Amino acid sequence: MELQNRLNELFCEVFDDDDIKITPEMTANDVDGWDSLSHVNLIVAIETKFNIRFNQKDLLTIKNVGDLLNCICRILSEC
Amino acid sequence: MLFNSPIFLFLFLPIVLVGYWFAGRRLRNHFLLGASIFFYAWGDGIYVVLLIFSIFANYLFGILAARYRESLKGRMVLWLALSFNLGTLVWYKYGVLISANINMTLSAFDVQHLQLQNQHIPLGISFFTFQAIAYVTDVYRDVACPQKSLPRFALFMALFPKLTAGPIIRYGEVSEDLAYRKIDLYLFSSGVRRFVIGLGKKVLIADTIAKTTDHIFAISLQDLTSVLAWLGIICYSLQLYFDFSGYSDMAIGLGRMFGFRIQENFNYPYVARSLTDFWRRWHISLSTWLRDYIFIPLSYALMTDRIRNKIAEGNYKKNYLSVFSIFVTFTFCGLWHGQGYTFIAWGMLHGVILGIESLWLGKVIKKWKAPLQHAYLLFIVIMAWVLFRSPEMSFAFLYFKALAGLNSATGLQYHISLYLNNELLLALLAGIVGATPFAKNITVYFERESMKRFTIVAEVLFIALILFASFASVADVTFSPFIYRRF
Repeated sequence: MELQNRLNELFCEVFDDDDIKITPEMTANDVDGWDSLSHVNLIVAIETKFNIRFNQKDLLTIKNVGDLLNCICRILSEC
Repeated sequence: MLFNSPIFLFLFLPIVLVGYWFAGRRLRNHFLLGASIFFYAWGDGIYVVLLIFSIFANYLFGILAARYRESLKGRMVLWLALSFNLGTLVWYKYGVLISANINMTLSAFDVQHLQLQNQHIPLGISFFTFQAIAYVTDVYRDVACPQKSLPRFALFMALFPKLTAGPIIRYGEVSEDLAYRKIDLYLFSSGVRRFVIGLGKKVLIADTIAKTTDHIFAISLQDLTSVLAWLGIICYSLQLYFDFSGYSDMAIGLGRMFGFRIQENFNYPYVARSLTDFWRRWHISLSTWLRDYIFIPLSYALMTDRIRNKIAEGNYKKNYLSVFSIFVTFTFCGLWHGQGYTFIAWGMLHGVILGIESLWLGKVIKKWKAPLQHAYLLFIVIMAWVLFRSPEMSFAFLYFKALAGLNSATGLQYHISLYLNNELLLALLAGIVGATPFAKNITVYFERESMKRFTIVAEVLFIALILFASFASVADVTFSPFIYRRF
């Protein structure tokens, strides 16, 4: 999926690791270096790259990459 | 009322459990609420009025925050709630410190000043104000629905298992349980087991070790040998963990006995391999609270468009802004723990090291062998506890000197052999083993089908043993059933 590829690219950039391959079930535990600090980076990067803004509720209910994808999808309304 | 007091164990808890059972589904919550208010009033007298007032206020804040969520009024309600809760906390906890500092400044100008004498800190205020802040914020953010029933909300705030020292429960964790709890024998018995383990941790391990810690910390710092200083701070590290995690276990256990599933508060923090990892295991309800209500909002608030663009382009690998947020968050954490420069320094120290770990040290540490990682973590945390335990900065400084052997202590007057008795050594051994997941790991082995019967019997006996030993210890402070004292 196009969105997933773009997001994957972003993950590689933010976490400085070209070997990352995101899956919907992936969580912070699965990626080296994904903690509260880099999470902020990730969210901001996504918001800037996709030109969107998450709202507070979204940010707090996203539990894995799948949720993240759905959220971005929903905001962009292009699933 | 302390959980490890005779009056709680032999009077309050049995009566409440029986009453709870007989109250039936309709009156259960009210009964528990009444018991909780009684519990608070027993512990803190007239200050129960503050708790009740806080309950009413936050109940209203919740309803209003949800109603005006989309408008400016909602923001105002949120700020009002934050000011109310934080204001109460600051007034009671730091009123004396702040007014003392104001007085100092005012006296420099020869201005008349008011004297704020020793302020009594209401029971659990640090915990229930934070719980309320989380609740109102969650409602405002549309992450939780406001609790429309005042008795249920009151129970959420006043639930006695977590009233004294947490965990800081989030509304979402218990919102279902508040409305509907099935009497579950399995949950109840797991609660009893957890409570007993917590009691044992506190009474058998923490309190035993505490005696030595207090003795060592009472020695005049010039005469404190390096060996004794190390023993002292290692004892304190174990004491603090078993005291606090023990209390949390008791709170979680009690919660389960009444049908509430409260989240874990500790996850073997002393086996962490970095300070970042440590804070995912120590006082989890607080560290997640700090993350969700201070660190994350602060990080986003500080974001400028310039930085946002840099991040998106991949030019902002080192997030200095987040590092600053971490520092502020942990300074705040230090402040929350107590009034005194030592606590602030403790918080700042953790903040600085966490920042360094996030910038580059974390990656370096990951490449180390496990023993080095553990040694690093334990060294940092134990050193930081010196600040935590010291009554003043000057004391901490002298204690550090003692640790390094840089004072004139000869060991003639205070020798380590005076402090190493069998009781302490046994408690330390239990403490060190108990601080690792060793026990948890071996129970996995024992949970195999073939061992099931043996395991169940062994576990029951073990729990009964701890219960008996704890009761004996609580009922008579000087009684040590299997461990004899020489000191």
